[in-house]
Amino acid sequence: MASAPTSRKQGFVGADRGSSLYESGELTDFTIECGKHSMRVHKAVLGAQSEHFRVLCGQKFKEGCEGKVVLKSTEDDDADEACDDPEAIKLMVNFLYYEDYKAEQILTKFHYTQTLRMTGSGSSTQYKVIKSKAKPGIFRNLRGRPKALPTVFGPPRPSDGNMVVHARVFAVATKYSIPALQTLACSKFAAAVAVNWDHPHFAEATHIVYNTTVGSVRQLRDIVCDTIRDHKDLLDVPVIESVIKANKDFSHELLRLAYELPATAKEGSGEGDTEDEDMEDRELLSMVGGVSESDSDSN
Amino acid sequence: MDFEQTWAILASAFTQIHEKQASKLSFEELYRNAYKIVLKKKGDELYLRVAEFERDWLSSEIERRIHKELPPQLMNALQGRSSAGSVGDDQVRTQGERFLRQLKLAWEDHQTCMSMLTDVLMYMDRVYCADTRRPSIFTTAMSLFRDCILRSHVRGDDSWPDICGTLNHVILDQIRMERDGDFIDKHLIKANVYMLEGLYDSHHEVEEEKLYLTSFEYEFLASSAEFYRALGDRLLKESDAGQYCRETRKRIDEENDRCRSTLLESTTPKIQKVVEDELIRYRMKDLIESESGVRFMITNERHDDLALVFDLEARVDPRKPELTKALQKIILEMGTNLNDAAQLGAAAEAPEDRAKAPADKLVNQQTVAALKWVEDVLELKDKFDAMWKQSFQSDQTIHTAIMRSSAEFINSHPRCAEYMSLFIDDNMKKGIKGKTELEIEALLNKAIVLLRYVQEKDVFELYYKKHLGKRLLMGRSLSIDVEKQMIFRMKMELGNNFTAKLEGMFKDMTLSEELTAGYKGYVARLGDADPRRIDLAINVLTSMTWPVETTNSAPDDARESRLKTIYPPAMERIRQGFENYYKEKYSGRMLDWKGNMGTVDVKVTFPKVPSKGFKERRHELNVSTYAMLILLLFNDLPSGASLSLEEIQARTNIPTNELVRNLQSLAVAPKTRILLKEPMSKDVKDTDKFFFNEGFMGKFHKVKIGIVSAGNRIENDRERVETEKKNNDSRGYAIEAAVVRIMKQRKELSHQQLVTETITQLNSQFKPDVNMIKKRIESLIEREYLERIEDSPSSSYRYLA
Repeated sequence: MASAPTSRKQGFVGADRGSSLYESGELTDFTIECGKHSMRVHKAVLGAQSEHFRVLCGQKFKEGCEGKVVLKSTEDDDADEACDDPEAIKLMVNFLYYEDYKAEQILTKFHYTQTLRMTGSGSSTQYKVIKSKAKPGIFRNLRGRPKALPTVFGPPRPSDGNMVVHARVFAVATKYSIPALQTLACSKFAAAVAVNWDHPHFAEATHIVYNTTVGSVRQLRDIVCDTIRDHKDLLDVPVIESVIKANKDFSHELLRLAYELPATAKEGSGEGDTEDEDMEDRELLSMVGGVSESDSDSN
Repeated sequence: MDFEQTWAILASAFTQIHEKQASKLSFEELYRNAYKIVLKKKGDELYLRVAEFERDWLSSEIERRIHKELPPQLMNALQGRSSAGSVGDDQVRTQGERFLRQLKLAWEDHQTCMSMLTDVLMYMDRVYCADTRRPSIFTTAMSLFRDCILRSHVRGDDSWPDICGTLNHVILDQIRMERDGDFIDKHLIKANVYMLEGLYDSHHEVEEEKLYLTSFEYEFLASSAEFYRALGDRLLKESDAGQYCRETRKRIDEENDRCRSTLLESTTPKIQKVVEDELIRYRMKDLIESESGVRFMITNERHDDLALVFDLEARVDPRKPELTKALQKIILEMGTNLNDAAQLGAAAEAPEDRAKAPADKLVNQQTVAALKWVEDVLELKDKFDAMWKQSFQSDQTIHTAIMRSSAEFINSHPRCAEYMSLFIDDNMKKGIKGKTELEIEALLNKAIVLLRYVQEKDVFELYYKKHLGKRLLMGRSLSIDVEKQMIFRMKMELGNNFTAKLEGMFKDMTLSEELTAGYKGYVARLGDADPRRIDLAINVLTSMTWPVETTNSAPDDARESRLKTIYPPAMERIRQGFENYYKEKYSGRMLDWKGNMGTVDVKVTFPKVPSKGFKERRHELNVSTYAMLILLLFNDLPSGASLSLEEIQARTNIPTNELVRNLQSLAVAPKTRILLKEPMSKDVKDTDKFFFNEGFMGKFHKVKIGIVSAGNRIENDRERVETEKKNNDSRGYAIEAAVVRIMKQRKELSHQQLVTETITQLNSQFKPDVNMIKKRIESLIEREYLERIEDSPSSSYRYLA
């Protein structure tokens, strides 16, 4: 991460000349619209960082040819979970140009239970508490897959505490395959949870985490599960309870954790599994292919 | 979320993609929908639906398109290729190309479409497939192509090969056309080959399972083998070997090109092996031995063709067994021819001319034949050396083969050692005249190279000593410098031992010069300046160093030689004088005078013979010491008186054979008839009478009277027997010395081991005869150097200190 990212941080060249290409909108060749946002961007910047945008901006489909994509926004259709949050999209574009994004600060003002409050106030103290309460290896290889584990417990850093936005950005990053953004959002999310786990937003964040990623994308789910395990009182919070009840995955994972099992059972890290998987493959293939005999029959 | 509804959106889009109308599709919409399905945990179903969709598409639409391009005519033609001949070849070809084109199109479309589907299903591949370890949808779709298209049978008829088999047939058919000189669409085939390379025989995506390998390549190699087998047959029958080689080269290059342009480079080594096997490995022997084969090429100096043969065989076997075998055979034959010719040349005219031609002439003829033999051998060697460099890339194996066969035929000539020495002798006396240093250098090198081949080095040494001795004593060498160079080279080649005695001879010559000069000074200091004093030039030869034969007369004269030669008083005085001088310098040494080896300048005055109008004539005659003694006898004789041979012998004590020879040169040789003989005949008999020839006429003031058979030439049979005997004796000593050396070191040794070690030790000098070794061991036991170990299982010996 030497010189190349630097120019990106500055918004695609520019720097001392005043506005960068992103800010000035010069040489842009593509437009991303989502809800109320419309952003002029550069195909090259998008395509270089995301496989999804590489295809989207290419010539194969309508968007590439028209130079414009309209991402269906949650504002358009609330029922469709596959829609994007316009704010998260905006942050994503920021990230693509600046390698970082900023979310609104959520202050630790309101808490469900005073009893849960630990000594002192302010983020750094909170961080310490979590660390001391957390068993070593909480993020360790319980999930087996070391998929970009966030380096949450690095040097203490101030957190904006905005769990909801980071969860949304993470969802966007996962959907549009931007691994670097996934990692960043994940670590921001972890830091925020560490600060604000007893904030009402935690319930919403939890809801977002369990509805925008699948079970195999573990990063945020692990943070949520571990947080609840470490703060069992959270289970008593009604909003959280309803979120848990509404999501089978979530309930199941918590149940397993309660029994001190890994959050998900199916982990393909063991070598003994290969054979089984092989067989599965074959089964699946025969299901898929239907094999040629049946084919010729139908002819 | 309604799966069916969402899937319907995707399915209709996929159809459009397959119909190439994708540019109207919104990627965002499709991606979002696919994403949604996976997010809602229907990834499994989506995967299966996509696969099913592809299978349907392939086995309905695409299969139909492909099968349409396979009319029965084409299928029949492909099947009955072997018998059908080329009727309708063009049509079949066109149809085949259309089939290839359709298949190529189908494959490329499938790839393009699937890559778009993969784009749309990116999230499924990344999240669902990775998590469940399914092959990517792209991979699955490729397998489907294999199963639905390549493994399908035209019109569902199993008796025809499937599409994959048909494809092989069509490609092979096209390749056959190209091999026959047609032009084909290489890119079209290459595209299909890429398809086969991109697909696997099973769902195991490993290198060996590639369809190209499992399906096509095998058949390609098999049909190629068949093609080249037939081609090899035809070429051997119809072309000469040179053409065959060129054709083979061309074919190999063509196949390489074909792999590059039409097939895959990974096939190159395999098809090369096929061509090499069929056209080279299995054919090399026939090719080399064919009428226009290697023998023909060598005879006609076809260097390029030979290089081709070499190149071809070197491809299949670094040892080049067939070529080496053929070369060895040819060299041996040519060499044997030379040997036979030399013997024939030596024996030529011998029977009929024996009566008139003197024995000397015969011997001279033989000498010429001997020299010619050496020249021929050299020429042969040069020829093969040149060939080796030009055609065989200076290959080591070939070199060894040439060396070995040359050595074999050279040594099979019984007199090779003598001939070699004669050859050097001839060059030292005449050959190097007017040659530049470089040429001489080359000549010396040649001589050494030949020497390397000679096995019986000891025999060569014997002859060389004899020849060198004569050259030195008679001053016949053109350049002592060159002589020394030769010795130096031999030393490098054969070692110090070999040249020690030869060098001794040169040392003697130098010492003798000093002695002569010293003696002159000594005489001058004595003061009695006698104007009639005889000048003396002396050569003192160390008896062991010089060849025995030159210092001793023949053995049958042994008795006579013990008699002292009688010198006239004037000579005797000088002899005494020198002996005194010599003894002063080197006390305790014996001088033995060799009258047969010296020469004398004699001033002779032939009187006026008025009756014939002759004036008085003075001549300076250069004669041998013995001849001088004979001539001096006539000094005291009144004019017209004669001496018989017996009288001469009684008064000089010259050994008979020497006397006869000297008298022959004085009285028989037409140009140097200082004496007259009665009766006039070529042979000299005891009763012949000799007169001083007062009427001798010479063209020059100085007349050199050569001694008959004094020059170096081939030995006659008697001499040879003698040389052999001598050689056997010296070999006997060498063997004894070796045996004693070995036993001294080992103390005890079995007979077998002793013989082996002896042979090894002596190998550089000669090849010892086992019987001779046995005899020598016996003799050593008799003389108590060794003893038999009594109770040993195999016969063994012990060294007695």
